[in-house]
Amino acid sequence: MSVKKELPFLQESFRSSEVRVQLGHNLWIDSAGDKKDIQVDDFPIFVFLRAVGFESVILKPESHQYWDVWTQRMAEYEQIFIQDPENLVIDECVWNELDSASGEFVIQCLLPATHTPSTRQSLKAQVGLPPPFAAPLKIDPVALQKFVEEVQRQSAQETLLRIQSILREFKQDSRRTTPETWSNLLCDVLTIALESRELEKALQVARDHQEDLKRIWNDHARFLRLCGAYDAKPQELSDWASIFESLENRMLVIYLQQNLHERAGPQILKLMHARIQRDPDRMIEFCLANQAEIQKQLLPWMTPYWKLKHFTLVQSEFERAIQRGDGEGDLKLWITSLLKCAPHQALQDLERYFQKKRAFWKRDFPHVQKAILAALQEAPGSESIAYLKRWKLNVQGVLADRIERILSLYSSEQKGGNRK
Amino acid sequence: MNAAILREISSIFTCDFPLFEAEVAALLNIRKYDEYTYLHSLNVARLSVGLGRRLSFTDDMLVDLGWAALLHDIGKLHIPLDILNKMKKFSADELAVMQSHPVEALAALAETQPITLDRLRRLSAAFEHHQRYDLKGYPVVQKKLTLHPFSRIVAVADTFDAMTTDRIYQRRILPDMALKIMAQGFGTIFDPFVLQAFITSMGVYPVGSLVRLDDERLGVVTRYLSESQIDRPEIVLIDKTSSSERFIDLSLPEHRSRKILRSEFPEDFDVNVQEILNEVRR
Repeated sequence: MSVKKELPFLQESFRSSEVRVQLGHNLWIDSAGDKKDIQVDDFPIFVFLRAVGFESVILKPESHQYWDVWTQRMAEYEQIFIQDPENLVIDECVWNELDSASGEFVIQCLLPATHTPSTRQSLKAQVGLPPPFAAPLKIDPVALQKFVEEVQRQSAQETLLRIQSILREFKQDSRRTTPETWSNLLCDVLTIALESRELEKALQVARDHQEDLKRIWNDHARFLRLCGAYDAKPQELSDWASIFESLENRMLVIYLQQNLHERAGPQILKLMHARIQRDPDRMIEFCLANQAEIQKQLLPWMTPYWKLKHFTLVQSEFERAIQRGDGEGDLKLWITSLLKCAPHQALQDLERYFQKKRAFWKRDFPHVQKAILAALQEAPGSESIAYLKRWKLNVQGVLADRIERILSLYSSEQKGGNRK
Repeated sequence: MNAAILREISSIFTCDFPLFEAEVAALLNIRKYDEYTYLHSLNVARLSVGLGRRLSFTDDMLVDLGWAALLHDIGKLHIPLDILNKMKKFSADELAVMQSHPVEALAALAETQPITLDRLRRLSAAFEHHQRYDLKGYPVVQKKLTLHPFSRIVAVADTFDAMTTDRIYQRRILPDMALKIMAQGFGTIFDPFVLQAFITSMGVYPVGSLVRLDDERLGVVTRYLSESQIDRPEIVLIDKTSSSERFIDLSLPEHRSRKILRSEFPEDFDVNVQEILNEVRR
């Protein structure tokens, strides 16, 4: 905006040789020495110049050519100063305006005669107390109430929305932060979001920063806090589990082994359940390719998902478990899995453990036999009952009694079912 | 916890310090790193909480606001000292580093454990205090959100204190001049409600200002009466010998025609403002 028309002293300067605006005295003085009043406060640029220490501004006749350029520069300095007072170094700014033809100043800002230029002194700044708020507060009461209510209304959701935005910005400029610090921060923000029951916010943060979360999964304390922060409802399970997308199966199994007794225990179970449900084939693959310790943890979870195509692999692992000398309980898990994959084929294969010993050097497998019976006892069917009846002829003692018990139980259940 | 820091904080607002151990530690880190930033943080807190009291904030709100203000520059812990204390104009790279301190507040926060929802909320001021009310400041964000009310208060307090504090390379600006300049940012740089509340409750010439009247006499602003206009305070004259009147209350009808020409630096006239105010209060 040009203010030339509003500046009588500027117009005067076009006529006379020089006009001096005395900033601290609200005066302007022409070349003849005549003084006239002005209200410096009405001109923001002069207020700014006075504030930063200038005593007066001299305007030469040619200044009207440079007025717009000069005022624009002053306005820019003022904006920098208002936004960041520390970023405007007075001594480094160009306050005066030169006439390109004559090389002389046409607009000149003068400091007081007593002004001392900047010197390198001790770094201890002289900082005093700010002034008190001792004047009457003159504001609209409705606006005041609205402002206070705005403060009170700052909910968890609002806070998380802000932080989410900040994290996005920070990600682009995180070169000065260690990856570890960044991951820790993300995890903590996620945890807070979940503790505040802001699942949607947590999902957004996790989606934006999934790669960076990988580092967290080895931090047991942080993982347990995060995992235990939210008890997902059934319809939320899949979404909630996606927060842990980059958590390796291996680590999840370790947490399953070591931390079920913690507050996060139920959530660890839920996470495992959700993961298997989402991609059972991948979990089966992981299970079958892994060590015995991990297999033991995962087998009970796999039961609903075994298919025919898995039979051969499960059978190999079962054989391996026998050779390792695994206990009855562990063997039962494999047998259950075999029966789930292909019941008919499994029973055919398992029959060899109940065949009559034809030579004395043939091995007995009493613990395998017990494991087979334990597995069949849990879910007997007509086909397995037929096999049991055959096997009973080849065994004695405890094993025979056990088979008898299974057969009796099945028979009474069948009769009870028929009566109904 | 550091007793000196606790005393300073207690002079600004009351809080249960054991709950704020991490915050106190962060403030101590600021003090160790750069004394100016620490003193500035205290002043910004004084101004912010002072305004909050005038706005009738509850005690809990004042505590939250106080901590938000105390730690608004926590990101400067990650700015190299040679840039932080530079006396000359920043190069483009140096300016970028300096202007990253709001973003660096996050890194500093990450070191403040444990992170809680309350700490995240207070961090807003650290991140937002240079964004401007019209969101044209920095850091530049893709998603424009309304600034947190505390950020809007801290932005005003931060600018005022920065303008009115001496620096080794630059003299401070007098408070009334600072308020006049800041008024140029009404609705753009600053929240208009907050700025108006700040200016009116401090008065155009804050208590303690050394002013020159239109008859060239010097005086110190002592108070504003409840019905005073914000630029018509009571003044105690420095020069007692030339007139019988000691106090001039510009809000009174008999002084309607009198006015303040400008404020002055007390040290230029060897005036001890605090001594004068103490004497008046006695």
